[in-house]
Order: sequence, then C-alpha cells, then structure tokens
Amino acid sequence: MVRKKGRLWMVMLTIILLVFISGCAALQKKQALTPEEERAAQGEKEKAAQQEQEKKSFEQSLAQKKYPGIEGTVWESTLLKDILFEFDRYDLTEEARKLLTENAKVLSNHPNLKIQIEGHCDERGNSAYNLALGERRAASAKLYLIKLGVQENRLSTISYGKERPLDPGHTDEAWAKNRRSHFVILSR
Amino acid sequence: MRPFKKLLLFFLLLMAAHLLHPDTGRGIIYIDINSPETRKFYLALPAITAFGQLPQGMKEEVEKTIAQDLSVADLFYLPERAKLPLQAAYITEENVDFKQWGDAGVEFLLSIGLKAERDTISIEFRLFDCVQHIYIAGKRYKGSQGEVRVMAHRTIDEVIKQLTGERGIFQTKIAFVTDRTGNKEIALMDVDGHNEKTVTKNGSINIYPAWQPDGRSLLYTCFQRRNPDLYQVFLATGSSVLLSAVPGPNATASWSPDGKGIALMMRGKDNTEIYLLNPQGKDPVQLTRSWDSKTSPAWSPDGKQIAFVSDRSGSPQIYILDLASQKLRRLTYEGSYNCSPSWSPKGDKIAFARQEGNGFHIYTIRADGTDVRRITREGNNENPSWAPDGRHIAFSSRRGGNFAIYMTTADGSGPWKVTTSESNETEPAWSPWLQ
Repeated sequence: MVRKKGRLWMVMLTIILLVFISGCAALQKKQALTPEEERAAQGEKEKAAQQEQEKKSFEQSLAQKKYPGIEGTVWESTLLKDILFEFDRYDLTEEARKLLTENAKVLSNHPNLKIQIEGHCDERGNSAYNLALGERRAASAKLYLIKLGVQENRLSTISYGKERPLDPGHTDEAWAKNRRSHFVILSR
Repeated sequence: MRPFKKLLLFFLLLMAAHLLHPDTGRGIIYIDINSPETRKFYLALPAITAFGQLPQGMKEEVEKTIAQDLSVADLFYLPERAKLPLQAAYITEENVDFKQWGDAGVEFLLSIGLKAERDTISIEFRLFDCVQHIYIAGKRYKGSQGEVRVMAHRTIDEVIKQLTGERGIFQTKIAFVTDRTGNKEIALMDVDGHNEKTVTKNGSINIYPAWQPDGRSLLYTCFQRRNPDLYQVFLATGSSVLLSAVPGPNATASWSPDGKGIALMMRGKDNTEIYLLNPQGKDPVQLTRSWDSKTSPAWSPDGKQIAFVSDRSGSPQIYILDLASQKLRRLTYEGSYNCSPSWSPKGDKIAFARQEGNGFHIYTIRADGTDVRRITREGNNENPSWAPDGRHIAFSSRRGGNFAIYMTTADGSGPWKVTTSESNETEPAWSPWLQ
C-alpha cells in the first residue's frame, strides 16, 4: 500500500514536472520571433536611425541668412536646390522638374517647413519686366510643388527681378546662374 | 569810386524804370516750340556785367549755368563772343544799339547783370528782339549766395517763357535711383545735376520712383519687408508711409494726372496685372485680366488711357488700354523687346526703350502707332521720362563703365550728361512743374 502510494506520488510528480517543462517550452515558444517579424523590427530600428540621421543632416544643411536691407532672417538648406531657367523663359526644364521632385521630398520629410520661393532674373533686360518675369519663375516652381503634393499654405513667393543676382558677373555663366528660382525657409 | 557810384545810380534808375514798364514785349510768341518746323534762333549772350564785390567764382558759375541752360533748351545758336559787337556797359533799353546787334546777325540779345549787396545777390536780365527792335522783357531776382544757381535757372526759364509762351524746365527736378551706398536708394537733383539730395536712406532696395502730379511726394517700391511694397515719401519732411503691401509686386506705380488714382503692377493669377489704387493705396481695382505678364503702366496726360508692357505676343511689347471702353490695342510691332513707356505731357508721343543687340535705345512713337523714331545713337539706354515741357527726355545710359542719367530732346538733340559720379544712376523720373 505504501509502495503503491509512493509510486502514485512519483507519477504525479513526473506529470507535474512534465507539465511544467512543457509549459515552459510553450512559453518560450510564444516569446520567440518569426524571421519576418525580426526583419520588420530591424527595419523600424534602421528607419528611426535614418530619420535621426536625416534630421541631423538636414540640420547640418541649414544656414541662417540675413539679406541686407530686408527685415528678418531665413534659412537656406543645401538640400533645397535652385532651379534654373532659359533666357526670358519661365517654363520648367526637365532638370528643373527633377530638382523640384527632390525638393518636394525634403518638404514631405520635414512637414513643419514653410518656404518662400524667390524668382530671380539676369541683369539683361528691363528691370520692371524682369520683376514680372521673376514673379512667373517663382509661380512656376510653386505650381509644380503643389502638383507634387506640397500643401499650398506652406509655399509663398517673391520676385526680386534682377535686384539680387547670385553672381554679380556680366558673363553668360553668371547670367545662367542668376536666372533661377531659389528656395528659402521662413519657419521650421 | 565815383564812376562806380554813378553806375550804381544808373543801375537803380533802370530798375525803377523797369518796374514801371515791365514785360514790354509780352504776348508775342517768337518761337513756336510746338511747330515741327521750329528752327534755332541766334541769341547773343554778352559777358555778364558784375556790380559790387561778388564772391570768388560766382560770376563764372552763373555764366556757366546760363550757357548750359541755353544749350539744353535747344532753341538757340549762341554766336561766339569774339564775333559779337564790343560791349561797353551793361546793356539796357536805354543804351541798346539794335542796329549794331542786328547787323551782327543777332536775333535776340540777352543782357545779364549780377550784383552783390552784403549777403544778398541779385540777377537781372534784359531781353531784346534785335530784328524788330523791341525790348521784350526784363526781370530781377534776389536771393542768398546759395541760391545763385536757382536764380540763374529762373532767369533762363523766364527768357524761354517770354520767347515761346511756355515755361522752361530749369526749375524742375529729376528723381532717380543710385547705388552709391552699395544698395539702391532714391535721390533727387536739379536738372543740371546739382543740389542732389538723398530721399530714402533705409539701406534696402528702393526702385521705380514716380512723382505725384503736384510734385509734393514720390511713390517708390521698397523690399524692406521682404516684399516689393509701395511707399510714398513726402519731399518736404522726408517721411515715408507704406501705401500698399499686398503679397507680390506693388511696383512700377504711376500717378494719374488728376492725382485721384495710382496705376501699378500687382500679382494676378500666377502672373502680373495692371491695377488701380486710390491715393491712399487702397481699394485695388484690376484693370487687366489675362494670362500674360504686364508691367510699367504710363498714363496719357488726359487720364483716359494707360500704356503698359505685356508679353502676350511672346515678347514684351507696348499696349494701350482705353479706360472708358476697356479696349486694348497694340502700339509697337517692330522689335522683339519694347518696354518702359512714358507718355509725353503733350499727349502726342510715347517714349520707350527697345532692345537692339546687347543693349537698348530710346525711341519715340506717336500714340497712333506711327512715326517711330530712334533718338539715341550710342550706349545702352533705358527708362525714358518726359520733362513737363514735352520737349525733353531724361534716360539712363551706360557709355563705358557705369549707368548715368542723361537728357536729350525728343528729336534727339544733345544728349547732355547730368550725373557724373562713379556709381550707377538709373530710372530717372522727371518732376512735374514745381512752382
């Protein structure tokens, strides 16, 4: 009888042990990740790091700028590229569209940015007509950015006509640089 | 001492005589400046007669100013003094020898006296018709030493008025843009380039000066608030007020001749349009509405039409809008780039700049589109602005290093260089009559 009782205890103990061990195994199995899940987690981590990196490099791309005789300051980012125009034209070249697409990406990555698009002209031609032309060049860039999904209320425009050339030279090369839309950050 | 006293007494008596019988020749128009066949007249200008102890250099300055004004007036041939009859004394209606001057081929004789009395300077003149032997007019002006150039200009303006029935331009002013401080500021000068004053001093970009019809203020555009806004600066006080700051250009303003409206370029729908503001810069009314760029409105002197630049044909050309009928007509067809219209105060002609080669030339065209004439021969010439006499035009020109302000007559006489600095002086705006 005692021996029988003792055997029963052994069995029960074994069962309990087995249950415990299997339970542990089951528990262990629940916590482990599938390879897909593992990759996704890794991706998120990388994305966060990338975003951090991008934020950092965007911050590094910024330079505060004060225009002489004009109130306030703006930021310029080397990531927001100027687009160039042909003489007396305001339509976008293929290259300009490409650059605007990149600029639009920067704007979508940094949804707090409000920017001003500046229309500029070379020194040739009449000052008043160039002020009108600069208005057109800024508007061309703005319309394309809106088409690419940038919210209109993040974009303002100004024409400087031929009053603020990037390159003060009188050569074809200088003129080409000056026929541009330039992007500055008003707030971020 | 005695001969001097005698001379002085003689002079004073003449003044009294003159005051009793002023403007003997008034009413005769000797020179019809509105006639296309106007020829130049022979006018003798004997050496100025000095009375009293004149400050050093004053006589020469007055001589130079008067000779320059007579040249710019472009109404006279000035015979060399060596070829004129010898002049013993100050010539008056008492001692003038008409026959002697007439025989020398002189049609008009202008005798000028300059006198110093303590700090007061006076200039007086006598003008004679040596063909009909008529004493036309004489006047005297008094002022301080600093006002001597102004008095010289008044003298010539009066001489021109006596001969043509219309005022001379030598007491008007020219507003312009200068970059001498490294930025662009609005400045003001007499038409001889003297008496220059800075109007704006804000260190920003200040452009497109335009006169109020009564000459009290100037409109201009300034980028100070990161937008090309319209301001008005009062010349008596130098104080500026912000008139219009709608986002986009508030630029190339032009005051209507009756002073009741301001035409200007403002933002349209992705382009620029011509708008009309009230004198306070408010209540914008859109005058044009189409896809093209527009700029540089210029009123006709009757205030019924506005000339402006549009590129609807594919290149900048000048168009005229009739305000009552809203009808638009194209004015310029030749040339691939016509801009800067300025309507003559007499209404007949419009001056503009046309691109030719690497630069511009100044042209005039009748308001009906006929009679296109180029009036500059060399240099890169822009921004014509009519004088109130409808005969003279100021413009900016680069002939060598920098842009300077020049004057020409509407038929291309001259040109005369007005500014002489090393900096760029552009966008002249000739004032209306100021007195």
